[in-house]
Amino acid sequence: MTDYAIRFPTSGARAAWRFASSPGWSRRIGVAGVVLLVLVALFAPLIAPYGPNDQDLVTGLHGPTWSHLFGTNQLGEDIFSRVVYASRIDLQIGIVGVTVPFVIGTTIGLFAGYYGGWLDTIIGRVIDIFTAFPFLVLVIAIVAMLGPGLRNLYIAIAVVSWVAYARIVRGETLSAKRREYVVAAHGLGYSGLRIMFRHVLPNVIAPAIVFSMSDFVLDIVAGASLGFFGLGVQPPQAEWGVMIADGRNFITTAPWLVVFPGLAIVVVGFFFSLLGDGLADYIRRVDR
Amino acid sequence: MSTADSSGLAVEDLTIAFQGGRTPVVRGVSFEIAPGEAFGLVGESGSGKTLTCRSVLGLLPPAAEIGGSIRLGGRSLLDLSNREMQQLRGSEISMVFQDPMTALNPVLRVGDSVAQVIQSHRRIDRRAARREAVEIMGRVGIRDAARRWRSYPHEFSGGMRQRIVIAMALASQPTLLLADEPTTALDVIVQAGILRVIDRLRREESMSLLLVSHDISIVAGMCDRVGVMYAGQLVEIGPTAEVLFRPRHPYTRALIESLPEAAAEGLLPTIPGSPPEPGNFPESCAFAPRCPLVTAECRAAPIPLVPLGAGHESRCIHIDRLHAMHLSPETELVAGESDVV
Repeated sequence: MTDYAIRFPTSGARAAWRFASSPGWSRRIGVAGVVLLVLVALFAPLIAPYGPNDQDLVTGLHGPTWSHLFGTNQLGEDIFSRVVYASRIDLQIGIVGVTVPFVIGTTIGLFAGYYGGWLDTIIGRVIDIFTAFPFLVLVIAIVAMLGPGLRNLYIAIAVVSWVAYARIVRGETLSAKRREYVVAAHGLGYSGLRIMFRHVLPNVIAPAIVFSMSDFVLDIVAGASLGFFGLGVQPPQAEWGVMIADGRNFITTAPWLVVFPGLAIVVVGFFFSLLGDGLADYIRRVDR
Repeated sequence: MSTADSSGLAVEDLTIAFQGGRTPVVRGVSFEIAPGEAFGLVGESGSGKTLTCRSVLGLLPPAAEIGGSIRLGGRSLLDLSNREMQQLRGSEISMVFQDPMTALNPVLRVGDSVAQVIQSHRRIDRRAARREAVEIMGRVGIRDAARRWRSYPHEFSGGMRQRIVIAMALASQPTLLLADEPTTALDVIVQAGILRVIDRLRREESMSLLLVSHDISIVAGMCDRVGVMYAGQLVEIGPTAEVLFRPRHPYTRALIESLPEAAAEGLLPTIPGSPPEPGNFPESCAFAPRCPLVTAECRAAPIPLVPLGAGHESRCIHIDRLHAMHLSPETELVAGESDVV
């Protein structure tokens, strides 16, 4: 048999460009914003005027000035530089936290929906069990069990959030597998795997991709929350949640310590939501 | 049954039922298709013709229970394992589906759809498969195939899409082609072109063809022999010319008479009443409630297929009175029912 590689309608780059250049201001802002965030993360050392852990106790706890745009913390670390460097960790949490569950959940959902029967029943029950717990509660519980740290955070997110993808893809697959082209693929003597990955998957993946955008934000918030609780990224590493946790003792006297990392989370959420909405619109339109 | 050539398709006493046998939809259908022969199945929706067709490819819904035998080239298809059946599909048996709008994967380039069929049944690299796909697309009448293979289904018209579906079915050089209402979803003008393509390629490749249609005139133009289905049974089967010009069953005759082309001026003759629902098929003649020739005998017992010579068979015991059958528009008006055939 030939490859089972997942292939998308057009080359990814071309599809992305077509999406990005399609009309709609909110979509363009979303795309531009996300691209900007990625660039900031990639070129953090060039953008940040100081290192994330460059201490200067003399200038500690200063408000925003021209030399320290977002001010400094009690150790004299430059908040702007820390926010910029933290974007690397936080975007990484988003990317890993989306990719791993996306792949696992999509595959499981595809199998459950396509083969049905007892497999679907079992997977359906497991999905129900996971869905019964709030996302964050389960993530915190798992990290608390495994011990703090970035790697365990990824494990926790993967364990919890594959469920959402599995549920979405399973439902889509249930309806897609009854479509005539799937029956036709069957009639052409294609193997089950081939039909699943080459004929069903490309037709059911869109809603999962749209969801992954809000999941991305969710993961970053989860990462920041765990950082805040001291369960995720460990200080002194710069991470938005950790920074907020660090600064909360000074919230009345030096609000910039929490405001700027908090704003960073808001900005990420804003741009990714715009992108997700735009993507949903776009897919709905292309589907017609 | 006459002895079939062992390399043809032989369907014998095929039964398909749902709900644990309580809803039979195909009842004891037998027919053969010799190599290179075109056989047509005609009937109304719900007569079981599509299920009969799909059962050959093993594409029945999982809830269906199937009985009887289907043999191709001496192999019993119903006894094959899933894997063996999978190898047969798309290589020896192919199918042209009814609606080209839904039968093509919307996210695959049409050329890739065709190339995939070639690749899935032969060791061949992608480039060569594509070349071959373009060649086949040309043969089914897609102009400028070398350029247009990159299109997606939504960029094609219905007729062009159906040509792609046909190209996919032919890509693996099957010995048996199943066509389930291949032109029902298309305009009349496009329809003729599609039928011509199927007919020409069938002859060129000397394939057997099983053509399913509700339109007896399509089958008439394409098929060597024809079977007429009603309520899950074959009510008449025979050489096309025989069945068409000397129908030996009241239902066939009514079907032909209610063709717009055949009707004299004035109102179009119709068949009063409607066919029985699956699950309510009578043991006796299923057409009896609508038949102008009906007698008590028709309702008493199952009617067998009676051989009439030259491979012509009919499931009617009143063949001798058939010439007296009168089907007029008035029949319908009196009955006060309207029904579409």
